[in-house]
Amino acid sequence: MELHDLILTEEDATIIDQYLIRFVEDTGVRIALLMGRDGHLLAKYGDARGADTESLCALSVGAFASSEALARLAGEEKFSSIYHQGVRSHVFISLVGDSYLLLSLFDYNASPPLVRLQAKVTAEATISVLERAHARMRVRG
Amino acid sequence: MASINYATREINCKLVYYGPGLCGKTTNLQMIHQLLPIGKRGDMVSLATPGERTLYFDFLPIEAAEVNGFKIKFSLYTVPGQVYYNATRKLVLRGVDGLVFVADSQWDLMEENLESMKNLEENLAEYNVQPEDRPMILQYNKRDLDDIAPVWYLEYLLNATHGVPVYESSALDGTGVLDTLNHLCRFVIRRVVHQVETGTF
Repeated sequence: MELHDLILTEEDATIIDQYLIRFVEDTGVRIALLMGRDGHLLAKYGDARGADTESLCALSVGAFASSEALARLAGEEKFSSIYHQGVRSHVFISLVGDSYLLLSLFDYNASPPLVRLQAKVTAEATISVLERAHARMRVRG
Repeated sequence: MASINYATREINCKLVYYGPGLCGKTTNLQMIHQLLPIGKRGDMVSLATPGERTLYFDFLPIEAAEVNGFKIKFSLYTVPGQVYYNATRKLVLRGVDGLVFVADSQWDLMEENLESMKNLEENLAEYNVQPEDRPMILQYNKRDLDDIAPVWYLEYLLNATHGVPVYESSALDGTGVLDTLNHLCRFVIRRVVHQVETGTF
């Protein structure tokens, strides 16, 4: 799926929100952000107080693009996720389809393997909603 | 890639400032950050080298007035101007909804301006986008300096094929910075509204 204009209906947004809520509640991550590869925030859930979500999106997209270039140098087509480990906070960014990213910001309350596993499950569920939104636009266009 | 979210009633658009190294792209964003009230803009993020040259991009989120009950949000990006950062420039262009090409008016830098414009066209082409497919403004910057090319020459050099609106500026003191941004924002909003109304979004 390539990057095109996107219209999310209220129903799309509600379904995506439900996936993000489940992801946050199941894993204990502090914030989950769904964004386009162009840096636009599409949906968020969690404790976003004090978090600059727009900058998080812009920087995640940049970091992920760097990782893709690294992947090619390493002989891989792409890396499906990247992980930044801090002392108290960690960031996990994973691909949702080819055109979207899911960012998870978490601390000691969440287990990295569980975040990784559930991020994949959430991505698979979410991409079907985004693909439907794109298909609807193709029909309209 | 503009996105419309009917649940949050938000429209998100991406604007990119393009141009040769040291032409004033970052200065444009710094002035916008300085001139807009806090409630209308977020924090500016700059990924720069120790020598203050843009390494990756600068980023500044701003908010425009509401249109038909939708809040319009613009994400402003600059690209690194230095020739060898082309992979990064290409990345920043991904999903662009509107462009400002910042040209350096100094006589000595005409070749760099031209190369950067060609580079923009090539990079857009890789996304199957022609410059005329996206709203674009040309900004002739550094008009306060002495050794500068006249506007007619810059027009001949950079705008003969595009024919886009032009602003003269001196980004360091803010002259022309908000005029450029306002014009581009209006352009982009009009395009999105038109696409939604005609079902071509």
